[in-house]
Amino acid sequence: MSPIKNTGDTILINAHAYTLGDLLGSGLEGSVYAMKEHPSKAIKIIDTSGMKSEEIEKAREHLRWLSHIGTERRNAKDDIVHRVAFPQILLDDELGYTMNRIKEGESLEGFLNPPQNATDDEFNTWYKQYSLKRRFQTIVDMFNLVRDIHINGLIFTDLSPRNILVGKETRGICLIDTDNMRNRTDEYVNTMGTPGYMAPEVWASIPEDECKKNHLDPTQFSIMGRLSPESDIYSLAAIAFELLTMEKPFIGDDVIKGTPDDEECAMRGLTDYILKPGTKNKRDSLFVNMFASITTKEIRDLFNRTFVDGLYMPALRPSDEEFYEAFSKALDHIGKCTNCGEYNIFESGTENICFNPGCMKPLKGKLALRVFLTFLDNPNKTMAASGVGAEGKINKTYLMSETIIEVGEEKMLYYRHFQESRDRGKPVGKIKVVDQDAHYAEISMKTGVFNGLTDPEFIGIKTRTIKAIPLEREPMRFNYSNIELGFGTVESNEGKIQIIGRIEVI
Amino acid sequence: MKFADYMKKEGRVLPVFLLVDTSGSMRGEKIESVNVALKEMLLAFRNIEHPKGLIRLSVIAFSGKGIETIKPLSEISEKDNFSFSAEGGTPMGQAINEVKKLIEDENIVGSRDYTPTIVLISDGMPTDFPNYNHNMTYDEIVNWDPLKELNSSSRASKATRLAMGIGADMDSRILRGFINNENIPLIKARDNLTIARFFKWVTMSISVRSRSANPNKVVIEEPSLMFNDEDILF
Repeated sequence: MSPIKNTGDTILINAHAYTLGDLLGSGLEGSVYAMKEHPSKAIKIIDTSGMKSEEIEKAREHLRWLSHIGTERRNAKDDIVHRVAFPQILLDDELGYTMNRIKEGESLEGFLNPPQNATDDEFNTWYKQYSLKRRFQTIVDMFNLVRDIHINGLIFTDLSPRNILVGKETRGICLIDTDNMRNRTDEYVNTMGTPGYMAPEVWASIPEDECKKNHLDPTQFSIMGRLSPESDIYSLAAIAFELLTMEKPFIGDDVIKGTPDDEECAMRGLTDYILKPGTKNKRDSLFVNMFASITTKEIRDLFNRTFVDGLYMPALRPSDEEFYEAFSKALDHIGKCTNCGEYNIFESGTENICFNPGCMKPLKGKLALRVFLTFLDNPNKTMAASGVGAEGKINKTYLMSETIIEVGEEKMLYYRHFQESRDRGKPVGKIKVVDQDAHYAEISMKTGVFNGLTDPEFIGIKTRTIKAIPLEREPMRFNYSNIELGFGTVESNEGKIQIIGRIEVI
Repeated sequence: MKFADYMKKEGRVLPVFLLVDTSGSMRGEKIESVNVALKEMLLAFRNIEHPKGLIRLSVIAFSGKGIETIKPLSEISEKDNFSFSAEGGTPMGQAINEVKKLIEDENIVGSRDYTPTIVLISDGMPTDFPNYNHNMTYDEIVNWDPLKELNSSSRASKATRLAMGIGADMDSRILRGFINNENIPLIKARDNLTIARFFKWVTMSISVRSRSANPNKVVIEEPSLMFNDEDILF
């Protein structure tokens, strides 16, 4: 057994001696140190006590494989290597590896732990730093990154707030402690997960009655087979739920008052989801009570599918893509309460109130860009029937997207605002309300962004009296009280569809 | 009602009881080493970021003066500054009875709290063990009332017990009987460096537990990484 390593000790990497810098973190699995000679690198030394020599060799082989994947991805210029701290070079004498050091990030735990015994002012300062908007953006980034990991054929395995770093200033997240990352057929099993975030099938086999009900053979799930992209999704959903509510999905009031054993059961998902309809395992807390004010129906449904329908049935859980899309869309609905300025979710047609206990005013009166798809029954008179014209009949109109616009703040527009799109690319335009009293707004769109449009020349601003004005790259000012935006026309099975935008109060 | 009121959540306590032998034989370097190592442990506990199990510490000294509660089970504050002096006998039995009584009291260790840890540090023979002698068998030793009662107490018997025996005089069987768990070694300190290492070992084990997602699960850091083989007695 090698003696415990300390700052200042040397360690061999490819037969060269390097010095361990400051201890950056340590846990049950091992310790991470700075590398004195290369400030941009860190060294992880895995604690091998209690491991047999063949287990250590297996683990080393696993690290070698991960390091190889990291190199491959780096050579392919895949952005994932900047967001996942792949093992790089293995240590000669210890089980461990070098990796890129993430300097700017802070652990997601910071989002979940308000300062102890804080005054109201201290608490408010803390919460402002981790606003609802930032929490949503982090969740979007999490699902986006884990989707990329899954697309690469990998399972992260141990997703927990401690393994997620969030950029302090810039957007984006990074995953650390990546040595448990594996593929589905990998025989390597070390850490399976963190209690409270681990999917039920990972810590125990699926109960027999559930198998029977779903016509599954209970013997078909080996421990290794239970680690899957779906178990990652469960972990991420648990983290997302906690980011939104500051609560764990299965810990109700009785569990909190109960013994540590009760808590352990709840962390294993043996209690009901606290928002399951009709459950007795309820949690009376601010964000749980106001869940509708900080989520969309789509998001609430996804959590239900994960923590109720898909609790024991991984296949019934939503995909990472669905979570990504729902949270991306919800980001468009986040706006500051017109009364207190706190971020909430604004949705037309709902009667939610601001979650801020000092406010509780109805959530309304926000400006939003609402984009409609108008299905035309007369394909030959497309432009005239642009939703305001006299000619042609409007068959039906759908609300395609709704995006809150804060006065004076630029709002980026993406493909998904205009058509069913799974893209996650760059913005295609931006819109800004300059003066709410005078009803002035500015818009600029990149030209040629709507592939498949039948009349691209008509992407422009239409008034009731003036014909289409082509949009410029430079922002164009318009009065939104009497102008609507014609974003163009696309073909569909049901005829032509016109894309119309209006700035309205919701 | 403000945000903070809605968000206040009573964390669960991770109780730690430290029983320190401050009998005359500990006088000098030994007790000074304990003083220094304890200071470092308190600092480390105070600096744990985002603990899930909130460490509460109680310090009980036993000496010729009897049992002295230096710190009742409470949060560790910057003001905590202990400096033991050593004198008189070694009423270890009384100290074990005291900690058992405290753990059994629901007002001190609540039902919400995580399983407590008891840390015992001693360099000698208990002076309150009637008819104690070196020829006693292990069974006779564990039948000593304080140990028997500790091991049969429904609440206190579950506590994790760690112990360090200082010096050549100590009867390892008594401390093994106190630990009562074949997976947890007794640490034998023959020098001051091992005293410091023992505190570091306790600090690491409890800190990892405090930060763990399930602090109820006992964590004992691998002793072979910290101590020389001859200092570890299973």
